[in-house]
Amino acid sequence: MLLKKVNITLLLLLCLLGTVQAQRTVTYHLYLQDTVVTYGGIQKRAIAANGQIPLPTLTFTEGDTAEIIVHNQLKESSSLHWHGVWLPNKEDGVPFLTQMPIPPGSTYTYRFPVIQNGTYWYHSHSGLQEQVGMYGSMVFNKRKDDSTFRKGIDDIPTVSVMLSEWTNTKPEVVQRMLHTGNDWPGIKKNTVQSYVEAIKEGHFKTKVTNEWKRMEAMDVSDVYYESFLINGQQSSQLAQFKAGDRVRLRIANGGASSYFWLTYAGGKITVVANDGNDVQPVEVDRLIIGVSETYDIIVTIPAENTSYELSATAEDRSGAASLFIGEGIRQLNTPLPRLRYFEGMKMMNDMMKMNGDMHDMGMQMSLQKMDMNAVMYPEVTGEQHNMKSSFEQNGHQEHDNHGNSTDRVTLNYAMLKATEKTTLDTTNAPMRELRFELTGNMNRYVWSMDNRVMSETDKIPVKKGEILRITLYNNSMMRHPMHLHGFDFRLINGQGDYAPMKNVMDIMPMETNIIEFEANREGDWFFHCHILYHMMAGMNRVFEVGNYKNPLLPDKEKAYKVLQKESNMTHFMIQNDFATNGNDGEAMLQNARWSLGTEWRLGYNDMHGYEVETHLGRYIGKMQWFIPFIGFDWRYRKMGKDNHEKNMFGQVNKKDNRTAVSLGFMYTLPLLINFQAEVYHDGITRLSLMRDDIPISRRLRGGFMVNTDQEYMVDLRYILHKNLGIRTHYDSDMGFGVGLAINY
Amino acid sequence: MKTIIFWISICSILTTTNNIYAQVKNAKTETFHVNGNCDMCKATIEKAGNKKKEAQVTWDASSQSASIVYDAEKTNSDAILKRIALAGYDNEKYLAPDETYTQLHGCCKYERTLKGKEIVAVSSHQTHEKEHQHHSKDEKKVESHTFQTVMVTYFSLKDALVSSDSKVATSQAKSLLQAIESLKMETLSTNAHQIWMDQVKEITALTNNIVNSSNIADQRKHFAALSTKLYPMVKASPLASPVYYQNCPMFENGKGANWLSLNEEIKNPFYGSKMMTCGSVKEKIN
Repeated sequence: MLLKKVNITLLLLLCLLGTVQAQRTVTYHLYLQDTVVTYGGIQKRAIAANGQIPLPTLTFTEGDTAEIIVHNQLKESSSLHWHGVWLPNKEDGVPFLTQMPIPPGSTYTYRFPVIQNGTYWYHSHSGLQEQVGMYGSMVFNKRKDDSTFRKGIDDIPTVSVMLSEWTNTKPEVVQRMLHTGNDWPGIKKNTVQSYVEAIKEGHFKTKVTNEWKRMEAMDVSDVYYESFLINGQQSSQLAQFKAGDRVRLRIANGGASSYFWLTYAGGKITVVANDGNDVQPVEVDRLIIGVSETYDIIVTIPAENTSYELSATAEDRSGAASLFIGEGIRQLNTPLPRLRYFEGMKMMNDMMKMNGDMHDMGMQMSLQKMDMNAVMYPEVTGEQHNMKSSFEQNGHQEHDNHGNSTDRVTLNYAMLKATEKTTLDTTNAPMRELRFELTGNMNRYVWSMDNRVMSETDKIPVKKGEILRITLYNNSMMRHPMHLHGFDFRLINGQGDYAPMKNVMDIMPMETNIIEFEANREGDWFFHCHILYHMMAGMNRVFEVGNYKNPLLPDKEKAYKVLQKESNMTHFMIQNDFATNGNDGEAMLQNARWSLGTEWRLGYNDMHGYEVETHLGRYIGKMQWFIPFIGFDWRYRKMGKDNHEKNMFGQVNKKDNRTAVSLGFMYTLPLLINFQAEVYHDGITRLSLMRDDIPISRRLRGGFMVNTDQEYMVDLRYILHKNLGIRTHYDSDMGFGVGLAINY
Repeated sequence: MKTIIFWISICSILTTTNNIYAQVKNAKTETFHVNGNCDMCKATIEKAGNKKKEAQVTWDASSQSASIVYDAEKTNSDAILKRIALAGYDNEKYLAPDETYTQLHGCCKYERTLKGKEIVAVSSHQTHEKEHQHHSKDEKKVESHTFQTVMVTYFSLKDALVSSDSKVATSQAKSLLQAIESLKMETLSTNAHQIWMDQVKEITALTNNIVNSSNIADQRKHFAALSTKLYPMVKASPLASPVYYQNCPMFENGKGANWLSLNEEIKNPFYGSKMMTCGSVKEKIN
């Protein structure tokens, strides 16, 4: 472990108060502390419990009473949510929804009866703490006399496996960068998909069509991670196993935003459980594990003195973590090759309508059966260049190989079948149908349901005992792992009475899925996208089941307001170009709907002038292409360089000294060109066209602006760092300039 | 043996010029067993292991070993050996992925002595099943002049489109034309006979179109139309084994298209390997 500063005398304290035979209380103490890790090659702050990342694995047996005592030794408040666990609402661990946050320096006890068995996990539900280490495995063992005990599955050696990722950037900064459209992560991952790259790969038309449809570069994930981890390590070995052993891995994806592909170098993977629920064993070659899902798999060690690699590769293929199972020499997996982004872009172009909606395929697309991303996978589509050359070299071998790659079995939700009937008794329970459309706006990173972020909606009242049947349609460009607190739901997947029970459902773009569950536990239950940054952007709802009085939350209304506020934070952004001919910059305060922005051009002398434009506007519509605003302009200048004062409409526009109030709007045209129209209080009208951040090459961005005042500007910016670039521009007011562009 | 290795490492250090030391700081030298055959292997192994200012690898065929000089502050021997294994070469610490090994040039296919003895057979029954399938397909080909023959040729045409092979598709379409012409109507039921009479003109025309199309995109379009025409025939005149009517919702910008297949498992003829498993079963015709 790379953990430092571990000076805890009381480590894991496990006391058994087994007075009554069947009813025993199992207690864990968790000491939350700041720590320093070097997962990304440099020292960074993280949060550990009992000196560990991941947090300690908590093991209980069905029938136990779980007691977890949290000692918050952090400088901030915290909480712990028991993911997938059925428990009284007040133990669910969502601050401002089921409890108040655990203040720094205090001790807090969670206590609940364990009434289920399977693989679960726990994590902080406070802010972005989950990204910096606050995740751990939780196992509820079956009782030996359980009628569902499966020989060869429930009685073989078991290891908990926690997947996660690490970024050296502070998660609060990651979140801000996502909202301000900083493309540094894309540069680091080499996924900018610029025009130069498009031309090189013969996809110029694809790129133009993409921008014509007002899409920015598509990616399968948004955040750049320095490393990916299995049980807190990039590579590790389970040397206690030997040839012939079958090992059950209880895998939980504790990543904040990464999906992982799981592949095994020692043959087939047998999937035996999902989200804590047994499924009928199914053999696959690989599977994708969505954010916050759990899968139990069994692997076999086929040969002597060999350990076999289980790889967890990030969906965007930017990295992987390895776990070698067995003793001896390490048999590697074939690494998953880089994605073909332009193929994905082409597919996206076909699938998206001009108005930003996806083609709705109804139930034809569901349950991960059609992985549209597959067009980007070279191992599926065949690596064109390599294929050809090696084909010439050794014909038939390559042929066999090709056969292998397309016959690869990939797990999808339709293949999951429960071990027992899961049908809900609808004879005397009322059934209620709900439909949600998952909506989002990549460009501004607003994520919502039915185009409403959480701060724009009330809790959804549900009668206790009601059966909810929810249809979800993903009309956004990204996949979402939708998680329901407090219940398992049936995922309608063509297995009839044996539909699998889950608590997380991954839904890909354009997919429609149906889930149903009986709302038989009172309380306020969160229903949200488990990608941390989507959740924090507002992709949440709350089901309010029954009339639950939570002793921990005397003022529920007020608490809910705080929760709403937390999921629609205001983001601040500022940038300035310190150029030879003046300062050129802007500052913005934005949330999901509102934007307050100021742009300035400040010359170094009166001739160049000084100019400030401020706009307060509200984004309208799902795609947020339209923003009406009120504006306030001020400028001062001595006549000089560009001395026409008449605009194209023949109106005279005093440039020397002008203060004006305006009404206007901005609309995003195809090719992401912003059209802005403004009328000032004195009747003067100004129309402008502008475009920022044209991705010319991986690090080079271009931009332009022209308006009816006959002003114009062109610029080029070379990105050096996430906060730094070199910019050169020509401006009709201030002339030519070169400078250092700094952004925050 | 030890002395040989010693001399090899000494030689390699001397021969690979002094600039190693200029390049690699905090130099540490270690020797590891690395399998390989020829000069081509040598080039691949060294290229995979080398990293500017970080690691310098010299591989020797006779001793099957690599001497590695690396900057102990920047990297470790594990990382270097992993890169070499990922390039296809088994070594003391890592075994190459099987797929990468198979793709090595013929002369580089060294004997994999480092692999452990297998005690669990890995999915052998699977290949068995496949052989069985092939077998039953061959049997069907024996009969002729029946609708079964038409469909068998159709399935071969479909397979050609699945593998995106336009030339094979053309030749399969030609055989399909022959099968259509030589179909003996008396082998059909009354109902099927009626449908065949209604459709045969269009079926022939569409098949002709496939023969005459020069590119796979056009062939696929005609194949989509052909499949819809054959569907009622298959319903009226069931084959020996069940047929699956399958659907690809994305073809032609979301208009979608159907095809017929003997296998429940989806292999999409409209996109081929690009979207191999994309699609769904609409109907199972027994």
